[in-house]
Amino acid sequence: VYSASGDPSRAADRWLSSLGLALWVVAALALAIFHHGVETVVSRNEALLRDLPSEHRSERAFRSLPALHSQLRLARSLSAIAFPAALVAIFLVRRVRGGISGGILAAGSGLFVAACSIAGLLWAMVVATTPV
Amino acid sequence: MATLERATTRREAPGANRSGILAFGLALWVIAVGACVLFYRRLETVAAMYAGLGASLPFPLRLHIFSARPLSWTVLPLVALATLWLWRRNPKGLGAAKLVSVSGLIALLWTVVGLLLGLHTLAFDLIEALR
Repeated sequence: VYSASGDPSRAADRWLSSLGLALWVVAALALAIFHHGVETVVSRNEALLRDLPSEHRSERAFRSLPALHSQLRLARSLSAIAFPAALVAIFLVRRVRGGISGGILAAGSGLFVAACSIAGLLWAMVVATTPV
Repeated sequence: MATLERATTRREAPGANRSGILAFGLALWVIAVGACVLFYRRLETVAAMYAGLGASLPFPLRLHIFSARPLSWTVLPLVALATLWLWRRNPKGLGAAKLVSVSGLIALLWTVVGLLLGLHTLAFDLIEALR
């Protein structure tokens, strides 16, 4: 909502800032849940391997579990690395182009972290469902 | 009086700002729909892969493969329809740009929820299947 007394461009900038911050919150929550899920899966798999009779440990499905864990952690890193990368990008863009508005920076960085979070989740899904 | 009326009239932001918000909302929609299409295709691949295994596949895994898919997939058309409906009714002078950006945010949020749930159920059911 823009009133005639207010500056419309500033109001639009505030709107973009709010949406960008909402994207940061969504991406951060997704990363926290993703991190928790990966760690739970890894610990459960390790418990499974510990309890496994020694004759089954050489089976292909179980031998591939460490590789699966490292792939899952790599996918999580893709989601996690987006946050510092976006902050550094904001800092650099503000230094290079000082006049750029906060709303555009918040919206652009929010889009970036959300896209990276989704890419990490999709990658993890591919890793988790690929047969060994 | 006329000045007061003009001051309280709700209106959309001017061209450049409105197009920026609209572009942002459309980008959100593109990310959400793209992720849903990839999610859908992956689940189809998994379902086809396990269909070859036949009855040996545990029932909870089959159930989750087919229930995780519509979680993301069916909500997006509903959000799009709600956006269109609100845009036609135009309550409180909300413009298309704001509606598209808010609905894009909801679509993206729901996609992330669907992906997390799908990944969670698939990962845990695969562990159980290994057991």
